[in-house]
Amino acid sequence: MKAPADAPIPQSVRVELAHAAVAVLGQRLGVDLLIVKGPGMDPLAAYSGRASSDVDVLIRPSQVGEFLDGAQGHGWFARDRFETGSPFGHSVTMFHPTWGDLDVHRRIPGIEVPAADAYDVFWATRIQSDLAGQPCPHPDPVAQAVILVLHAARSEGSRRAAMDVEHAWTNAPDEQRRAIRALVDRLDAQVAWAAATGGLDAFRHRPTYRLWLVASQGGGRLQEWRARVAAEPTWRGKAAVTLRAPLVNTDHLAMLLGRRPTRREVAHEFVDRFRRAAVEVAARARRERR
Amino acid sequence: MTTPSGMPFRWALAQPIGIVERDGITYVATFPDGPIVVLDPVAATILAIALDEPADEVTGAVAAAYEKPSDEVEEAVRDVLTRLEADRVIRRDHR
Repeated sequence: MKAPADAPIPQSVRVELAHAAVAVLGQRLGVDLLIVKGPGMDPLAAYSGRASSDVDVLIRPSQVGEFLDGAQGHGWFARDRFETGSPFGHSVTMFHPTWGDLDVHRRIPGIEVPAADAYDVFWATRIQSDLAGQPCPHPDPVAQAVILVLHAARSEGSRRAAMDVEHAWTNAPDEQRRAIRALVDRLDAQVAWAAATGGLDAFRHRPTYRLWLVASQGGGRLQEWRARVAAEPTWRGKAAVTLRAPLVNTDHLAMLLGRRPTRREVAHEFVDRFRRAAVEVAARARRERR
Repeated sequence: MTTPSGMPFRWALAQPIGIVERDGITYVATFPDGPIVVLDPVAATILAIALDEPADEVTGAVAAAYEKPSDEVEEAVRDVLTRLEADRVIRRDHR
């Protein structure tokens, strides 16, 4: 009569418990958070059997620092930074030895109204889903569908992203589709939405067009950086992105190596980025000559 | 079962915790820091009985549930409850 203390824990179980743990952590820290994906999603937004491997939360923007600091006191550590996590600078990945990975979002890429305004919209209509016996705050099913499809817009070639769009949007009931369209307009998310669902060309005049073209259809690093510069609304922002472009993403390099890179490795990567950029430019020139 | 001071008590769930059952195995976690404790059906039964009965009657109730003599289940009951208390899944309630 012994409990199997060392028995492996199935991923779906660990992930469900992790979601509830993060919800409780938010309460404990007095931080507003919403779980934006995972096993608590409404069937209107997520297709049956959609598996999750980590936790994704959206934090009230004014409380992000408070959450990151507080989480570290509960055994979480950051794998990267907002500046290095993705081209959109929207999230930080944290890790906990018991719960696994947690993506902490300060905004949802593709939503062009201020992040605090978008959060207020999601928070006002939030619902509670029960996970592992704990009430866990989620956006309502309409907002869940919008967030899922906007995520699909930057998941070029992903089979799962295609299934998300098909379920959450293409095959959604008419009433849900009307509510989704209204929310996309309210959040000024039409460009990214079009990148996921079609009709992106209609938004060529928008500053974020090229960024979503690259995110949804792929492109080289140079294209990505040019699109990021174009998408920045201010000159200060454009300058910051331009200056960051040639720098090595040491967080990403650390994840690839499984340890912090040495100075020599960072220097090698720095030089190699220019080599790769030159190769990319040459390849594009060849394509254009043909 | 009594505390070292001899005061009777009951076992109660520590809060907050999460419980997931999958394929006959129960996974109990303490929030927000963990750990996750894995309970086979027997351990889960011991926990359920421990939460229902006064602490000093748990062994007898488990023995009755499995139609075994108390001394045959005593060690298992003690092991499971000791571990659950150490992992902060349950606590002693003296009310």
